[in-house]
Amino acid sequence: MLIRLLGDSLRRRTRRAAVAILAISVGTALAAALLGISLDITEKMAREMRSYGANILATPDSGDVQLEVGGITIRPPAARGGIDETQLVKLKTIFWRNNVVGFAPFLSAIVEVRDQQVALTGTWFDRTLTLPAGASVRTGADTREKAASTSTFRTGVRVIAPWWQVEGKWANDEDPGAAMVGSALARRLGLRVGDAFTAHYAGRPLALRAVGLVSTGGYEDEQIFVGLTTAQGLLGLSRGADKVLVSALVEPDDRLRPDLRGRDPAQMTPEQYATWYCSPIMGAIVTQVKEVLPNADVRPIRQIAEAEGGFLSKVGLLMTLLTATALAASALAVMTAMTASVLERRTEIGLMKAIGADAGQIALVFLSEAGLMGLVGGLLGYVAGLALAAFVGQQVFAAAVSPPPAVLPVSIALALGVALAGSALPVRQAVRLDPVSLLRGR
Amino acid sequence: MMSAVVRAEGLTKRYNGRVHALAGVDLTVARGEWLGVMGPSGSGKTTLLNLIGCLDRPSAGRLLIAGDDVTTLSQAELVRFRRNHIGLIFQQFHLIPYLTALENVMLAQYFHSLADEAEARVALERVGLGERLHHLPAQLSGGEQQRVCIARALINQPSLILADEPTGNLDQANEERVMDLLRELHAAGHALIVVTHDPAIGDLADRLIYLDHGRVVREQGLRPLAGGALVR
Repeated sequence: MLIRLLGDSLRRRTRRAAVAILAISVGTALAAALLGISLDITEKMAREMRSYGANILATPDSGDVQLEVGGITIRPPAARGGIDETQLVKLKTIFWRNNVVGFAPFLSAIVEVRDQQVALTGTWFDRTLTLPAGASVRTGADTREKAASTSTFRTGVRVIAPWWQVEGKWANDEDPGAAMVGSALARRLGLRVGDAFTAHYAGRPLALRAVGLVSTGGYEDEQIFVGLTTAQGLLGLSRGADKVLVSALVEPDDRLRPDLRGRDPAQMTPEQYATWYCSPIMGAIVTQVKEVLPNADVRPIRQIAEAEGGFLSKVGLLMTLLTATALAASALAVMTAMTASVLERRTEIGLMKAIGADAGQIALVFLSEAGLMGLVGGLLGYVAGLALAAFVGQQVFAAAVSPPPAVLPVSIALALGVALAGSALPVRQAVRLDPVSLLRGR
Repeated sequence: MMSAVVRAEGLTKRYNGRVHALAGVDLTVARGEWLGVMGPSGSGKTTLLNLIGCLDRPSAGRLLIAGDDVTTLSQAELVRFRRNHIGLIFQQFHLIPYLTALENVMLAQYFHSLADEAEARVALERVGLGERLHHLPAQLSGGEQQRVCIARALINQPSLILADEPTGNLDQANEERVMDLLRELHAAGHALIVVTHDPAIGDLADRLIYLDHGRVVREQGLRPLAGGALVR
């Protein structure tokens, strides 16, 4: 009987029901799209953020006081090259190895070029590293397994600092005479692309050729960049770097399980620690980097990490507010439609009450109607939301968005919530109608 | 004396605290009795019916129906009481326009307990609408709609049937048919309270009361009940 009442009511008020369903669909579509995007695109957004620079810094943990001026680490000669760059491939064995976008070692020295003291930095411009099959990789806080196959990956400054603007070309890591000169320094030294020049360090000359001029707007504009092995040779080192910059995808700390936020990992239970360790947050990734670079002091580059975390949190908040606004608007539209329905059917309600319908039964008639509209609107909204998410993903992030399956039940639940919330006041009104007045036509 | 299905003592209904729609009505209706209620417009007939039908609450007085004091019941209890004990027949029929005759009857069953199509079909056959089960109200004549309304009033076996001008909107032929049905209900032992302007309907009652300005101003009639006992 309820189904009969429902079907007839919707059939006779098709236009009004369609408007309510449309309103629910629009709200749910936006909610589903934003939810899908926020669940799926966070990683893509984080990757986008990674183009703004490395967010983790590793320096030798020598215990001595170190000073960085203009991007150059000032250390006593004996403490140079404290990080072994051959160990950096291990960054691809940590638990969150797939979140490590790239890394580059840096070894700096003050050299003399054309009678001027300038900073010269050796680094990896564009290196392909290989992780051999059988390498031990982390699968959990306490577990490891052997890599099934050999894998290769690109890293270096071109990967972690894609914003470098280069006039000429990038230097080749294997070319010991290739140098990239900061644009401001090049102007001061009168160097152009293709010019040869000599750098002197501790009386040793190094013949170089400016293959490209670098412009970043930062301290790189005042430096000369050469391959790491070239710099090591100049400093008389066989290996080693003064610092390593790591670019890793991290999620804001508020994505961490609530009871673990702000906690000291050392005070956690083994279960809590395992959860914390396997969360892609800055603290966990720094810990994992430290595990593979035991002689390094590893820390987040605070301003980048915090700006990134803050940005992602704000985007999340913005999405939540937009979703809430859209759903509230949908609820208002449902309320309008249901109020009109109650007013139109007041004699019918009066009759139902007169022949024995109680408040619950009257409410059930209208809430079922709202629920059905919510269900249909939710399904339509989910489908539209998927299309919207795909469009936004392509337009904004140039990436396909694949919302997880959980978005469907959440969308339906939101649509039902909106439909029922929007119906609450009209249903209350219906339940309170006086049958005597209604049956008299008042 | 027969046991009373309705006993009203000092039943009063005031609107806005001042206008007396009913002013201290004392009334008893015995089981199986047909009580006619007549009076000019605004005399309080429909108000009396609404109070006895538990659609409204009195401002003062006591009202016992089937032995229960309904003035003490909560709103939810009043609804339950109404659907278990009272059948209502309206002048305007008040059928749901998009439900068939059968579904209109089943709706009362649904609100009472469970819809039973076979039982609803029997109720409609009893009022002579066995061939019109699946017609919508708009496809039925006024008399047929009123018979659907009567079938709906009977479907939950109420102890009391209240009718407000049941033939007020009907032509002569249909009025006769409805009156026959009311006679049949009476003969079957149902207690009836029928509000009417029509003296012909009033004459069918075992007892007739006249209301004016919310008071019972006259009472007439004393005839054997269907079971042979005398009223009062």
